[in-house]
Amino acid sequence: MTVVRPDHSALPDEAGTPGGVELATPATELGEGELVARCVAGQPGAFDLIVERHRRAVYQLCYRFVGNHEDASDLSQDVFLRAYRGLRSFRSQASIATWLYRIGVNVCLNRVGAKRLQTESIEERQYIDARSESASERMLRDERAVRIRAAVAELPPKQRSVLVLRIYHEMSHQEIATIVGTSVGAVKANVFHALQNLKKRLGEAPL
Amino acid sequence: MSHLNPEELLDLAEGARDEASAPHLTRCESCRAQLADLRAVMAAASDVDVPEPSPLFWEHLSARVHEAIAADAAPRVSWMERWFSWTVAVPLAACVVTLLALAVTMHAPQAPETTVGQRVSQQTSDESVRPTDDPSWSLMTDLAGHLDWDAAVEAGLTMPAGGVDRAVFDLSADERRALRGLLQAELAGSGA
Repeated sequence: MTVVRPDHSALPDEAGTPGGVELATPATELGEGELVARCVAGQPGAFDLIVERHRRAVYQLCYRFVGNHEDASDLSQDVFLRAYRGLRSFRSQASIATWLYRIGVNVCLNRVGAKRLQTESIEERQYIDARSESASERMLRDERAVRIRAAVAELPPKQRSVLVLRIYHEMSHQEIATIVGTSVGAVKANVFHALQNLKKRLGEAPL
Repeated sequence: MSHLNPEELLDLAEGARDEASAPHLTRCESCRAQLADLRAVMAAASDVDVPEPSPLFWEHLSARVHEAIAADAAPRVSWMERWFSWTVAVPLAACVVTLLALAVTMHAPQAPETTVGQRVSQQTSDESVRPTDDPSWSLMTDLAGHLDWDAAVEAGLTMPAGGVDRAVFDLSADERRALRGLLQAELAGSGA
């Protein structure tokens, strides 16, 4: 499993000029609070840098919720747009990642409540590096991945939220509780029931 | 015998708690099976990656976000500005003028029944009732003074084609004579 972390590899060039915009301090050295302060002050390019750092994690969060690229892409855009609108309400006690996850969970929950989502089939998106496995191994792995993604996407929204944040983003129960606005005990109970539901949906076939 | 609760089972499955701290497990097959199931499904789920999108996707996503923010930050036109834009204000002014004209006509004091010819004769002989001295006429000319011709046509304030001819045909013989006199006097006065 790939643990999703903020994407620092996608930072701007050595001059620290994301999108060709001059920043006094090299962009790579900017702390989160400073970056947000520059966004709020209207510094062009500052928010682009936040997007570059977090776009992969936000996209993957959205994909885990909806199970297809198109919706995940639209939702990711929506998450960043809402984040930009709410920049002034950002409190630096939380990390930008946690703040973006919170927005992401809300955006995804609204979407999954509003429309029936279509998870992708095996054929649709395959960019996995398969050099180390045989064709048959890869096919089996892909089939299993599709089944599990579909089963995750069918979980009740709250269970899905906590499971995605816990399993795929490796967040602590406390962080998840902050994001979804509940207690640590409730988060643990939801993770437990999500795993049980997942087992039930996957049936008796070997995992 | 009380079984392990969901929180205890999850802590054991996630490794946050050692199995030795749960002696119940050694004598309860049901809890052992539940724990094994939890571990198996966690391992299976965590082994599933999100398919990697095209390498071009990330820049495309950034560009989309950038454009969406730029569009969102573009100055918005308030309802007042929209209402006072010329496309709305001109027809609105035309409507106001029409309504005022109707109101003035309807509320004008009713004179004894006279023909148009008699009225025209009275008006031309009475200097005090020239249109320029009438306050309601002044109001109308003030309001319509800035209205350009195209806007007036759009608002339906102009005479339809052939309208003047039809009006003249509708006059009685006396009225036509009075009109002719009025026009001759006007032509003579203008030196034509």
